[in-house]
Amino acid sequence: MIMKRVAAPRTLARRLLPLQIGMALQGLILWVPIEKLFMTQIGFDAASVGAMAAAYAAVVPLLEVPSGILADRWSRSRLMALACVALMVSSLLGGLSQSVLAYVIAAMILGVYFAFSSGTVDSIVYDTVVEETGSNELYERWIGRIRAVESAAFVLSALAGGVLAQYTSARFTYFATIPLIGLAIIGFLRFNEPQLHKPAERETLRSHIALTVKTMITSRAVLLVLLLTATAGLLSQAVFEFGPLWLVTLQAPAVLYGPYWALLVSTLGIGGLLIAKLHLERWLMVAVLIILSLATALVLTWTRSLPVVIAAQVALALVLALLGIHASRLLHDAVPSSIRAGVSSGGGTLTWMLFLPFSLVFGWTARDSGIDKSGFMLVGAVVILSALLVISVRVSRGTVPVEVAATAKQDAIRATQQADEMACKQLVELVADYLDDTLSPDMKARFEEHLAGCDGCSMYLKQTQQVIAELRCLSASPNGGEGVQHTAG
Amino acid sequence: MKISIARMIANLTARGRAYGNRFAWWSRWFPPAPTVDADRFQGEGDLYPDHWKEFPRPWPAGQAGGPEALPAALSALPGPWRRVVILRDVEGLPPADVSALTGLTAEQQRDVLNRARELLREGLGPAPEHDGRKS
Repeated sequence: MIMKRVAAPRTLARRLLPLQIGMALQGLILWVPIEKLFMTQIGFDAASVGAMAAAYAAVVPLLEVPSGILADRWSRSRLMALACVALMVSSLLGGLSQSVLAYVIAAMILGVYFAFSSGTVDSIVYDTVVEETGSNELYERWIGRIRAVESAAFVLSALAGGVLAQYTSARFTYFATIPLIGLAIIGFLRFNEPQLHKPAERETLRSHIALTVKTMITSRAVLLVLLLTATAGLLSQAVFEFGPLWLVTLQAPAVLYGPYWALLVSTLGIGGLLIAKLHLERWLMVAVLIILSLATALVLTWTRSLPVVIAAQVALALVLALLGIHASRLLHDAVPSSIRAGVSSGGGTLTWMLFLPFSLVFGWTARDSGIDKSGFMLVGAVVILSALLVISVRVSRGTVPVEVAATAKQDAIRATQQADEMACKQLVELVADYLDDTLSPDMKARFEEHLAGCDGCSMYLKQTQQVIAELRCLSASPNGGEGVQHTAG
Repeated sequence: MKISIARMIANLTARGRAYGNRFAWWSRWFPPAPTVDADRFQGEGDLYPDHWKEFPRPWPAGQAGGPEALPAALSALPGPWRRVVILRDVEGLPPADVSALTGLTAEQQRDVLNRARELLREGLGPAPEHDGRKS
């Protein structure tokens, strides 16, 4: 891992502040912890909860692509604002709804919010980092910070929502959410959006997708990791979506939903911290996790004790978080960096596709034979997950991880070293280094070797030098120089 | 519907590892952004992978693109990039001074410079070079 460059430009932090404020505010969805409680109050049963989850799981992937196009063509921060509007409308309709149908409509509008916001912030942060620093190296750190802010908001809203529901009503939390999201819109609109719009991106996207799909289908190792990711994701979703139904069945008081949800949500953060200390490639660790997940899933099928149910769900969620991160690390090692995000998206879509039928069947069995019986579906999925985990540990032993290149320049240097010669695509990344004479002797030799035999790159370098010469003239001419000085401040 | 919220936090979870967040399930497609558009180069299946599809077109003699082209291209740059270009190429400051003024590392200001110069070069050309191939 190359993480030695610590310096983050001051302007980057200042520029991302409104975005962070917006993300914190839009994370304060107060009704989330008590949603299932409210849903039962207005007439939902387990089967209709399952049907709602399925309807919702169908909406989001459908809107993913159009929302991506909208983000590229229009404006990403405005798309975030629009997503917040959808969230406000959904909260309002949800709060007003008196029937199952009305609530399902509200849920589908919430799907619009998630489709619009998913990935949008990632790409805003990515472009901002590139615009401020010239490379994407600091991207991971900043998206990590923003996710941390967001998850802190989730935990806070979980606790606050539970308390609010206890002292007012479940319905009120929906209305109380609306002004907070309204404030988030201001944050997004105040954000100074990056201006870098590369029209060629869409063009290369198509070939990119083709390559990604090919990798997903043809490589068995990748397919295995994808299945592992999707199964862990499916189970994780199932716990978060249907877990509260256990509390509803056991008639837990409203105030309990807040801490319960906060615990559940915090397992994801704790998992992130814990994973660095655990060795999931060791059999002992794998065995512990498998036994723990099987035990907790089985406990959910027979216990009637509220504390045990909560403890089991939290433990299961934690194990699933660990496995999810582990799967993403395996994925990281299995595919080259250039198509990694695409393959991850494939894993996400696969999760949705599995979750749709799963939630329908789960809801159905929960209504007809009780939530504890449908808990056996969790057990079944855990068994499949365990099998995939065992196979993946066997497969991943002995495979050499694909090397990581965080930036285009590092990519170029690595490719040159591997191929033992420089190609045009790599040369153009190194022009500034060549002109500043900061290339290693080896790279410099390859640079010049390529230049001697390539008219295209000679032309490219000549034009770049001409640009530099003309820029230098700008400072000499009083007119141009002054105008330029002005913009420099 | 909490699934999505769970999912959003799952993005955070990978934070424990340095590379984690690249795999945000929903993140769109982020190959390292190249300086020159990837479709200017030949692909895997072509005769010379990673070499120019078409060489950069030569510029007519004299000042390329007319006297107004460079200031126009310059003002079209994103603010932080323009600042680095002006400090380094117009005012001719050494990298260390630019780092001190902008808070960028030596490496970062060079990355910015490389990208910005490419945009300027494109802007100075006689006509946008790859419009012809676009649909």
